[in-house]
Amino acid sequence: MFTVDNCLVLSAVLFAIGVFGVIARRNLLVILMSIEVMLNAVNLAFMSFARQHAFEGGNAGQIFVLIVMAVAAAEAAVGLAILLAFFRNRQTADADEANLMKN
Amino acid sequence: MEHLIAEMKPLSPVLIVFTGALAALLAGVFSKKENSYALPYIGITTVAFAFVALLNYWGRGMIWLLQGAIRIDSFGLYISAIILIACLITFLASIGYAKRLGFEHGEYISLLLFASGGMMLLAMSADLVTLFLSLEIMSISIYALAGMARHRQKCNEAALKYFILGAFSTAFLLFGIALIYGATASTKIHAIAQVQGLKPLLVAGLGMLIVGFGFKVGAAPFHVWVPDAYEGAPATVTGFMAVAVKAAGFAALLRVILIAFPGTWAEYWWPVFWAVALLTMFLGNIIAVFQKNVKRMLAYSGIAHTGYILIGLVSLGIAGSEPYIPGMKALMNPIAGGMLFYLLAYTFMTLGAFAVISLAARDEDDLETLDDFSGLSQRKPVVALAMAVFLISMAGVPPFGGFIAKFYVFKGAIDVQGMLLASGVKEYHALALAILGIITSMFSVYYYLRVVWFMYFREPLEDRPSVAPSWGLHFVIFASSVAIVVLGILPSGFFSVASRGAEALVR
Repeated sequence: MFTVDNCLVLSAVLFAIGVFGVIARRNLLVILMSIEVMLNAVNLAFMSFARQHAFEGGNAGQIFVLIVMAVAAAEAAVGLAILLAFFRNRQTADADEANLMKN
Repeated sequence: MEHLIAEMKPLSPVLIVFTGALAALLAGVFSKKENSYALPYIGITTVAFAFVALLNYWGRGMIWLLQGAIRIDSFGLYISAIILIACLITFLASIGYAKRLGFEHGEYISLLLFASGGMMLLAMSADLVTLFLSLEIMSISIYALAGMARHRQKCNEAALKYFILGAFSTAFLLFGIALIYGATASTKIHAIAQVQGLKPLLVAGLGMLIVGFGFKVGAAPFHVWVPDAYEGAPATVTGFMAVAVKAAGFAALLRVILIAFPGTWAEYWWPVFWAVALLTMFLGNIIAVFQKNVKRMLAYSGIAHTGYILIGLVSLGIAGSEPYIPGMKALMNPIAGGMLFYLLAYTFMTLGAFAVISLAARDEDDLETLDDFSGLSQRKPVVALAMAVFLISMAGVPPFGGFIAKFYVFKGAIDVQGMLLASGVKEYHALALAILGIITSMFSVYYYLRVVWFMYFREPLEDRPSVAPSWGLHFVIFASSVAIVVLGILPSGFFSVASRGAEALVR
């Protein structure tokens, strides 16, 4: 069941779900969560590949996962702060309301 | 421990910048509010020290650090120098301006330094792990900087859009890195090039990398965040974003593409960049014509400049995919040097123009619409003259730096075409791109000169009280316009430095 190929397929599916979420959903918090889903899909891909390359690639894949997790946390912190500043000024978390600037 | 310190010595420019960032953060926390005017000077001192440390390593060949995670070479140092110049100009321009917009805090200085440090590391990274990490140090700092004036609605919006699209593109870049790791079992950029044969995973990974980097440098069709982020962010931050993020993004793009996917691999990526460059030049220049807001117009012009720099990458790709044509290899270094020269000229023109926008403001808002520029030559004749120099240089009119930069890029494409024709290959992609580039840059003359026309031939609108100018902004505008003129009149010295910078990538 948990073969490397299956994990890779799952990772691709998760990534696609994340992309769909960012494009289709309008709530900024949901968009933020979709981005996290994309990053976790990447983590899954790294883990699967690290398993596949266990004898040749060293542990670069596993290290990468740890770094991605740390960076994702930092990114989420800054992202939520930006979202909060937006919400305070506009009282909304709808992406379509961010429309002050136009061509 | 001593061994580690000795090994880290060549990294001192980056470490100095990070130390300065921490110092600025602490100074911001512990200093009183009335002393906050001193904060930019911490940044200026840091940049000066880092620059000295950087010059120390110029011309010493390649230095590998941390088991091959970082390679300090002429290319990384050249890009780092551009980033430090951009950072210095931003600090000088921020004196006074940051106070007016209410973000004269330690964080502002600190974030600018963190972003610069990340960019320098990005230009030096030889491993995809380091590349990703430094890219994020840069990006996260810039997201926060874009939203620095947090009480302004436009500023919130700019930060929000930049953040969402930036994080989205990072995920693509990361998935690309994962696929490349899957195909090659390595994250080292130099090791990827050793892998023989065409693996579907590797091609997919390359494609996703191109998407990710395309976002960062603002190439069409991944440019949608650029106009909004540039318009909404404070003018000094916009200038820094436009210049330094682009330089760092191009540094990473060039290093990954040219080192990990060299030679005949170029057949797969140059057609993609050909289409991207064409679309970027046309979209940027045509939409810029319809902009009433000068910051937004400069955003689209920045997109167009990305397109021109990409012409260089396409020429390198075409030259690289025909390695058997005699003389083709010798063309590659000048082309890459031309791209690096372009980045340098672009730095001064753009930062100068954004400095004028923040200087010439009449009230608390930035000087933004075209109408606000009417009669600037009567209110501030010297500033208007400098702005005219920046804009005319961007349009690519001699004798300014922008003209020489465009000349090198177009000349590279035409040289490659000439070499192809001389050896009997009848394909005209390089020539077509050069000609279309020249045509689009003729459109651009219209919208740049329109601002000049407003400045010189329109009466000023009703008088609003003018803002007290700071010496920093005056100095920036003066120094940038001098630099643009010098780059235009005596380019050969700077071009040879740029070519040496390019030697680390293509000989």
